[in-house]
Amino acid sequence: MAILNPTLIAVSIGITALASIALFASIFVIRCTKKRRSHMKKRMGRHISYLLIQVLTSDEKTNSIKRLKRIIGKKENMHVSVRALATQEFINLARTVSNDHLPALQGLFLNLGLQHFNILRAEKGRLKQKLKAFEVLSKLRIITALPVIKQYVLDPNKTLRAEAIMSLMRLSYNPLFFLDNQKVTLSVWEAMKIHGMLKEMPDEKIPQFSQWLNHRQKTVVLFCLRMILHYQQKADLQLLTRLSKSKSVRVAEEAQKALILRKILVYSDPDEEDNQIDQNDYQHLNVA
Amino acid sequence: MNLSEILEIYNGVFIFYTLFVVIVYLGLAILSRVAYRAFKSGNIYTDYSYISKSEYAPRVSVIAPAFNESVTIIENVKSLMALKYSHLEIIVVNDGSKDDTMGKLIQAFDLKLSEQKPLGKLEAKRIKGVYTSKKFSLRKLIVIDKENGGKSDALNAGINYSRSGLVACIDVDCILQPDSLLKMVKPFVLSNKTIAVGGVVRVLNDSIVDSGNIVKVRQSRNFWVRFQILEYVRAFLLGRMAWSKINGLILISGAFGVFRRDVLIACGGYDTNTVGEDMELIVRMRRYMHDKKLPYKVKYIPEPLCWTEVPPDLNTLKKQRSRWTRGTIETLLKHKDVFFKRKYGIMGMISFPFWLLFEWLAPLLEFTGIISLILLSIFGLIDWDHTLLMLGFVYVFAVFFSALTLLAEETSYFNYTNRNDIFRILAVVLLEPIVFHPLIVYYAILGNIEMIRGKKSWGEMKRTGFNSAAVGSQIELIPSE
Repeated sequence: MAILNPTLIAVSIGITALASIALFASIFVIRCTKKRRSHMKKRMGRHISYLLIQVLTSDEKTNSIKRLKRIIGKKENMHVSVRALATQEFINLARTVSNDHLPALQGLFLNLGLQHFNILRAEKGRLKQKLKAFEVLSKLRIITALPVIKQYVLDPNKTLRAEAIMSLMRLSYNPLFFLDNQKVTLSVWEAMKIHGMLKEMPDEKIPQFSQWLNHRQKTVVLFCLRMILHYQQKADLQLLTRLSKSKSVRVAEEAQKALILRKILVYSDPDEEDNQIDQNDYQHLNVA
Repeated sequence: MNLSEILEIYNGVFIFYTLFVVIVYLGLAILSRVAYRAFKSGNIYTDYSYISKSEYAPRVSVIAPAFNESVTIIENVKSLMALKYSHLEIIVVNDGSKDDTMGKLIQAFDLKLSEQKPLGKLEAKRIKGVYTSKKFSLRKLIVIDKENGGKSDALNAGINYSRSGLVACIDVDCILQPDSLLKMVKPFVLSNKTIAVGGVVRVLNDSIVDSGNIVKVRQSRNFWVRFQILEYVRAFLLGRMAWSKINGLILISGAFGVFRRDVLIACGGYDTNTVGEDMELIVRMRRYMHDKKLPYKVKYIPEPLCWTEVPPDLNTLKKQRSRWTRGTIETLLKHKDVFFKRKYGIMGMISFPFWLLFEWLAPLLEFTGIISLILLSIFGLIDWDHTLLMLGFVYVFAVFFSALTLLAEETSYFNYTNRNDIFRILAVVLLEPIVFHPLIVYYAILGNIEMIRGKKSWGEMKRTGFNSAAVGSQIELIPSE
């Protein structure tokens, strides 16, 4: 049997053994490089973070800003992009600092010229770079980034689309303006994220969801009905009645719940004109 | 046919089997990496914090059966309470423990009897009482006290009391990552075809746990545990991901799996007559979907979401492995009509034959190989040059495959960051094919023998308790009770 040729087996052993050694060597190299890079990143990140906090909290800012500019001007240090590191520190700070410090942080971000770097990454970077750029630009309210991020709202990549939506919600005064042009299905995952984000927003930023009840995307209508229920908003009676007879079971169910809620809201408000509405309007709902 | 011709055929079969194994495992490894990369690019930069706040998230019941777990039960329930998920219900089922598991639970969580009634009708042993906490902050905790009926029975009882669309079944001795449920729920949210999701299970022994969270991942000092670390990484990182990619996964570890409750109940819940209840359930759920001609997916999350204690000594390891073998055989035999049935798709045509050949028969083939090797050498019929070369090839390939596993681990999770870990692992990799693997084959043979003898029991698993984090960098070991 040719396959039992001892030379062939010996060669196979040699090749596999060499491959194993190569694998171990690459594990070793990867481990060393990773450790060195992460050590470098940590050290530099800590330094940048210290300087940023100095600028935000102490009166003597000029020196720290100068030092920050000098560090960021280096661009790369041991294959680690210093500007990317600085961006990460800005993200970390934006996640933790109070709203009072946000304008100062934004000013510093612009002063260091990081907005151009991040807008460029949002336009031309790899997926992860784009997503990071979205986060920092939106958290620091860099309005000039709005048109760049807006172009990804209809992107076929679900992750990119979802993060673009999140960023636009942070940036725009009307957080759900993108729903007007929503041409693709709003997935439950996206809906969950939008809802989670809305919960962090002040009440005045929560839009009237009834404006999208005529939307051509059924998933958008369903989401808005649920939000109407969640935020206890009063939607148009005729529209809700029409939706409660929808062919889509889920839409019909949610519309019926919204109608019941409407009834409760109307009756609890004595000044409400709708109090005059005939009981027959709700008859088909069989409300107890 | 003379003896030399028989030997020639035997050698041929051996060679082709070896080559077949090599090709299949390499194929699975490649497929796993492709699937892993696709998973990573789809889940890059996902901020789960928004989802954990949304009431839009589907409600999940976590069911944790406990039997004589008084050593770790409080730490385990704390770990479950720390899960980041808004719509959560935690059901701990005390399966007639003989120690003070129930007493500890009542005391630690301020439990009182509740009037809660079951919603499901799965068969389970008598319920002695249902408890909820007096504290409002612990309202999501339900403790069911029942007569002993085994793990499957306890899980069925928990499913009966769950009020959620999704059910997460876990081993109570596991520590879950705080965001594990969010990650496991995602496939259900993204596709309503998803019926079950599993995740990577990693070895917890000697890692440091504080208030139900893993503070530091460490390699165990115990050599048997280290072998199992390598084995777990290999199975979860280079095996299951590939099966998930082709929708052929028939095993979601009993340590942690999330299921659609309606499908779980429709197919009759857990089988109480098998020790391989986790595999059997997935096969039955898949069969149910095929029989009803409903499209479905069984998904797998390639991230370490669940940490479990593995047997630290050979006696416990023997019991566990022989039980696993019995479980596999029971499932394969119970569903033997799935084999090569086109109706059951990938499961019937690929998954089942693979499990038969590589999980059930492989240890038997290896064992007969060793026996025949001994016999042939006694009778002086062996060609030592060929044999040693072949054995050398098998050894080198095993080392190569383990190195591939470690590379995958290094480039994905990088859990063991200690400088010396790499050398410890290297020693494990070199010794595993000649020390640990023969033992596993032996335990699998024992499992076959136990199966023939009709053994049904689980065998007890020894618990050592967790290492807890102390102040600063000092590590204080809490002695096991």
